[in-house]
Amino acid sequence: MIPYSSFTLKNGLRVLVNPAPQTPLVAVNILYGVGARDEDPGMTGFAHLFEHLMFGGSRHIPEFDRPLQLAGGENNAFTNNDFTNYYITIPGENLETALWLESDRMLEPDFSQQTLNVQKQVVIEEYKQRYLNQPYGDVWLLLRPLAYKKHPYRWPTIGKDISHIKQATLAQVRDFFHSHYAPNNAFMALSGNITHEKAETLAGKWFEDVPARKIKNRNLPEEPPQQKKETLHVERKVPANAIYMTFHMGPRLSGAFYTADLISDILSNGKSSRLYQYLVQELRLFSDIDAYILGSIDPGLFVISGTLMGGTSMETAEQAIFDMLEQLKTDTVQERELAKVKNRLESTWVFSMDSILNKAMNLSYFDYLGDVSMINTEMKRYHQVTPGDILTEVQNIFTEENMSVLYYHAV
Amino acid sequence: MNIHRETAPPILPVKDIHWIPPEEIRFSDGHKMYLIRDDALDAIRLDIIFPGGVWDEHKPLVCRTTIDTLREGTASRDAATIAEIFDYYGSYIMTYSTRDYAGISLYSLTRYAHEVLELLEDMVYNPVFPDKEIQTYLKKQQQSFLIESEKVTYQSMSAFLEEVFGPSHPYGRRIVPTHYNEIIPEDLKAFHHESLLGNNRYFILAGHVTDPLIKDIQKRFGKASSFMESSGRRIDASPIVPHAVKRHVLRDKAVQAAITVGKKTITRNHEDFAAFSFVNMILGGYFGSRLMKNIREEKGYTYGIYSVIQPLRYDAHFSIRTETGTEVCRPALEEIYREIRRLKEQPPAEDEINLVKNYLMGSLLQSLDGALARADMIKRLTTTDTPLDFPKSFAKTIHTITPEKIRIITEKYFDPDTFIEVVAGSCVHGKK
Repeated sequence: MIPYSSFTLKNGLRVLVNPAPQTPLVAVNILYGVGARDEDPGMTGFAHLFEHLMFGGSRHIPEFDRPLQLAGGENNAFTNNDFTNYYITIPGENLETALWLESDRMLEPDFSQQTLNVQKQVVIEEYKQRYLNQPYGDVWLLLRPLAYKKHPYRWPTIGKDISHIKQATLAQVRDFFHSHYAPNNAFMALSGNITHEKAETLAGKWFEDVPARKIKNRNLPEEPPQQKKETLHVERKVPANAIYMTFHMGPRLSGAFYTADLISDILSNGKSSRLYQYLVQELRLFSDIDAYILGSIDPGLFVISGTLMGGTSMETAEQAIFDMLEQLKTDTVQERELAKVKNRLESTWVFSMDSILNKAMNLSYFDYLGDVSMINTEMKRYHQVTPGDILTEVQNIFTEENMSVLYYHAV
Repeated sequence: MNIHRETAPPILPVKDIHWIPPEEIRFSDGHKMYLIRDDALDAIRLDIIFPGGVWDEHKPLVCRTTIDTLREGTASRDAATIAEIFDYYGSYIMTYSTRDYAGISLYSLTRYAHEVLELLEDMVYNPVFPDKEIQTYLKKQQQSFLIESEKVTYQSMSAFLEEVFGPSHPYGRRIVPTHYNEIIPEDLKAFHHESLLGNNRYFILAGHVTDPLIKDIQKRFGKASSFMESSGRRIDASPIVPHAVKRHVLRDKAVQAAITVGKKTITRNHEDFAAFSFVNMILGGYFGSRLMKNIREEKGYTYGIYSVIQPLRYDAHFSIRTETGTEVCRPALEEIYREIRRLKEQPPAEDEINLVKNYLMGSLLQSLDGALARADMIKRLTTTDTPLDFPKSFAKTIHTITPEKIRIITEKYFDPDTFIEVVAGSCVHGKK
């Protein structure tokens, strides 16, 4: 059990507290409920660009990083399709420095043309480094629009087109802040050397006067059920052919989510998993193969990706994967195999919850999902999944018309 | 509440890094185990470290392949059985090999630790290196290597190491794709027998440690082995005279170039190491560093730039690393040299020294937080022959460093004319 308490400030800011007295540090995590899915299709990549701008100083504080480093703190942030997450770890005695900095940029970041110009360039270099200059780096730029036609999950967080970033103006960026960043759209978690009383005093002191704002309504188009198999062939200068398959699956808060997650583990978590044992070790068709789920809040994707051994054709590779999926429909998963993937999930969870930062991130995330108590019930949800649930879900997901395939040809 | 947002809350510098060297126990046969207890964690991690690494190899890749394929079958179990049992208990086995050592990490829930230890023992003592599994492993590795070696960062770093240590030195030697075709199971059996079991291996146990667990590990792994202790380094590593050189690895169509600028440097056991780390920090060791501020935050030439010290067992190197758009690669290089020169021309004033001091102390505290982090620190220290009180002496040097000491270190180690420069990718020539 992870002990926690929570409270809400008058401006709507949620605060979660997890005391862990054995560490001298505190992790401060703030999740803002804005991600790439909240972007205008003509202005993609903004949530992520904005994450960069949050480090450019704020109304009363010219620099974000410097005072934090002076206090012995470390920080970073990430943006995904569902939310933007900022985190700090700091020696407990300097916690106020972190809260001072975070509250001031929640109040208002410093929007200067200079900061925007530089960070636009940094993001463009990031785009080149991560998406263009790595073998297979552009896969998600191609896969998302193949699998999603309506829902904003059809673009990645870096943006649909880098020209959106190049054209971003100060006015647009400022507007983005005011319609998404607010205490009433933020979830703060403190984990480590902290008590509930101290958290109440300090959160009240630094965040109470940040005004609540009117948040833009989220009214996202639903992705209609896929009607036919989607395919895309590309040629790139890479050393080996690769194949990427996606299938639509249930949303984060559905029971189907847990089942799909376990199915992905049965297929590819660990060396005894089905795809690894059969397609890599025995048939030697792939040099590596992976099955995983994207974990998104709205209906997500079940993904299978494999790098082909020289000599394996795309047709053979695709058929081999599909056969393994078909086998799941006829060959019911046995109790021992299911127990195995549950045990693995549990140990991954135990090791990850050893970190105060991971605990803080998860508290914020589950609170954003609407129920912070999930941090202590997640494992139970996985344990409740039966072989029958697996069978139902496999039949639901793995059909040809629910599938999109990207064929990545090496030339 | 009345607050003054313009004024920073008072800062308390980190005084104590809370480092206590670990408990050490010796098995009856002399092998050593370090213990880091954390009863709040419902799991354990056991590391077995096999010193030797590339130094003990007769052929490239033998060390890595041996440690990675211990799990491919034992006298009584095949690879699939071994994998299934570890997976069933939710246990993770990670193998690693660096230039100086190889190792295994076993991650396990406390309640299944005994079950998986038996399997681990079997893997360590009775591997058979079956031909088919070894061939599959090598093919997979070769393919991953081909993908990795496409990256400009890989090309830049491997050319840099070759320049620093020389192409035949274990730290500078390159892997080429054909190396993967040359390994046969006999190489692995010999390496297992002579180096893994022959050398003075040791253990690091972290997490929920109980007496029965210690006894079990001792019973399984404290068997007196009949092998002689290895004679140690097999390759004569003649030190290379520092030389400044510029090398360009051509790559068409890469949209970014990877830059590595650096040199050979001192190890953790050198008296200047902590002060050297301090100056490295100022230059490029953290997000607020001079390089990051100038080249990312002011000019936007890159997503990130860092300078990194890599202490090895017998030597060390340090380098400034970044990836930049090809059209800004030349100006980025010029700025890198400008920042190296500026260490001397505009030495850090009190506030910059103070900032780096506090930040370094904080990050040291972070790197020691939790049982697994402490175990990692012990691994870093023991594999580089560094005394276990190093974190304390390091913290003391950082805490008491003076501008004069910084000046001496800058003079001694940061002369731009002694740096090696490697660029992979195209770097458009400017006016220079």
